[in-house]
Amino acid sequence: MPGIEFLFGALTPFNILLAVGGVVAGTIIGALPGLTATMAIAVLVPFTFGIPPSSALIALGAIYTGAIYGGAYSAVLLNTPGTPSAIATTFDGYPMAKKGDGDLAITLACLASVIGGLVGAAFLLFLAPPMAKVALKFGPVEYFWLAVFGLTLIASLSEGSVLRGLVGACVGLLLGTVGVAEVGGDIRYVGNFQALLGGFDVVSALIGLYCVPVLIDLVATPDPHLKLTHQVAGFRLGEALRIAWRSRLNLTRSSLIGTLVGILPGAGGSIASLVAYSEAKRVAKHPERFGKGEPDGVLATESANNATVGGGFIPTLVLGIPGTPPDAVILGALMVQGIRTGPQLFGEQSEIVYTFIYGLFIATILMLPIGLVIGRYAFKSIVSIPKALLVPSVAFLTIVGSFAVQNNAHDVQQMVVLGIFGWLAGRAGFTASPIVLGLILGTIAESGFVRGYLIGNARGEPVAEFFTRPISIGIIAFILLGLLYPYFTARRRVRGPTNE
Amino acid sequence: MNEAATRRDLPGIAGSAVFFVMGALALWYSRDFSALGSVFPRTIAVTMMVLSAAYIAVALLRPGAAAPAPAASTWRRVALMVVLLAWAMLLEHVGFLATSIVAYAAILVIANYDRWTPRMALTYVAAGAGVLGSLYSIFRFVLQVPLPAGMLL
Repeated sequence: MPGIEFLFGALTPFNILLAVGGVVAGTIIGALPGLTATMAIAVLVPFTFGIPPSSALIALGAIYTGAIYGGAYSAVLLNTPGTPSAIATTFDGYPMAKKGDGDLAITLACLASVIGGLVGAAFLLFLAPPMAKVALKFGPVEYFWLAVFGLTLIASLSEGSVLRGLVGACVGLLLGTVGVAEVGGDIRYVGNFQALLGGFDVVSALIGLYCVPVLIDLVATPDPHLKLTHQVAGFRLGEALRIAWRSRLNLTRSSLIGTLVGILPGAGGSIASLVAYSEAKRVAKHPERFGKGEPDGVLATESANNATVGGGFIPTLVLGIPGTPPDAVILGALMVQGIRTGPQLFGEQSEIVYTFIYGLFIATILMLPIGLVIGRYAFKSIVSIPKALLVPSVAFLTIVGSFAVQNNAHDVQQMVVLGIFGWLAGRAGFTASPIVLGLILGTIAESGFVRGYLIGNARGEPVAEFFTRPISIGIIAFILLGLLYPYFTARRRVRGPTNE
Repeated sequence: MNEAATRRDLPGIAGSAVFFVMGALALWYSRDFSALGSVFPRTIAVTMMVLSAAYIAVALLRPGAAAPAPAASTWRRVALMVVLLAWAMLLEHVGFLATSIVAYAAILVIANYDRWTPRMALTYVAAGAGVLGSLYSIFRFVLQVPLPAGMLL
């Protein structure tokens, strides 16, 4: 087993404490409708700045996996997904609760989340090291195309039109050019704002773009005063284990779907759970039971969305390209820790990576008892937190968190301004994720682009340098596939009814 | 043809127009950069202008993309933005804790839709003080973040 010698490093009392704390905090935030897993990580990132990188990663991984699972509570018991990843869980989870099986649905969701999380983490453990070896062969041009691939994919997969997604990605890339250029040393787009010389701080920008728009929208509508109509009376673990064993094929398939979707840059738990749900329904013996309280529906969505956690870490750690939006925040946190992700991470700093991966396994396993206990005893209290207290508390975390990145008030101002900009862009249909990914990948893209351009110029073939290398051609093919995919699916959707 | 089918995505068109102008400005300001420093922002700026123009064209030719925004309070949104901006601008000069107490209270009032009662006010003040105090203490004393004291505290 790769890096088994680091297992004991992950099992220190401090790391286990962080894993428990992370899962609890993530589950609570994920359970609150309106607060996403990305936001959970963004507001809690500053708590990890003072601790060693591997422990910080374990805490962030635990928050992430807990938040994805936490979304299931509200989906099952309130018919309101706690996070977007749990949207598909409402399809069968809530009907189960209406039938009096809410406790069983919660336990099934917990079991499926643990299994999906473990499958994703196993893929991270076994797939990432060989991928890192391949990635060592990548040159600047390949990194440029990889960045473009990530941006086109997120533009294609994020909600709304591909064109708007691509424009958003360009906005992020342009924001990334502000400050002193890494290649050439030019001072760009700073104007009279000396504070912008270092460019936009990535973590502050992420906190602003992901959290401020949510807060602005939260105050715009009254508190729904959610009331639990279906109580969780017990665990029904034995019954849930028997159902899960009977549906092991569905669990395996959904976990694999989640892992694969997680590996695709920019695609997260919401896409994975919807794909896994439709696939589970398609191959089911009784598809007519789906949507009416079918346990297989809950198992499919919850295993898939938690499998994206491990899957998403693969491109994040191997290539420095975030697999899911929460990974983008974690990538920013790693930059603050002074860690440069990429294939060399698995050689030079393998201790950090493997300690984290084993820590992720531990956090995922811990989610079973923690998740069941929170669902049974604490969920009622969590959903009764009034919005009037929630919004200022989260706002305080965004302010203090963006300040703590570099102990600089200018970062707070950037965070708020970018947050308001992100909200305005969102109102016009330009979602935050492509902008964020553009900002994060800007450095990789520009460095690869300029270095490739210089190498090509030296050879007298600047264009050929970008289009003739074998790995580049492969990535370009994937980019075209990613761009054309939405058009093919749209055409198929349009043709569908006429063919029937 | 119903109303939804003929509706044009005006916010999307306006946003694209803004980003088109943003691209044009980025292109204009890049004229003073060195060849190495300008090649990437120029490429992105031109790409952004082309894509924004393409979106405007598509939105004008193929209506029906936008859905009406759900009813929501505009003044509360604007008030929150103003409070956040003031908080960010003043925390260094006035003091982190002082600005945080005022901003926390202001946002609490903005986010509350229920009728104020003495019992609710007391509960919120106590809960808010507890949350703010504990989060401030964690960052200031446990994580040792040098939060600015400014003129007040």
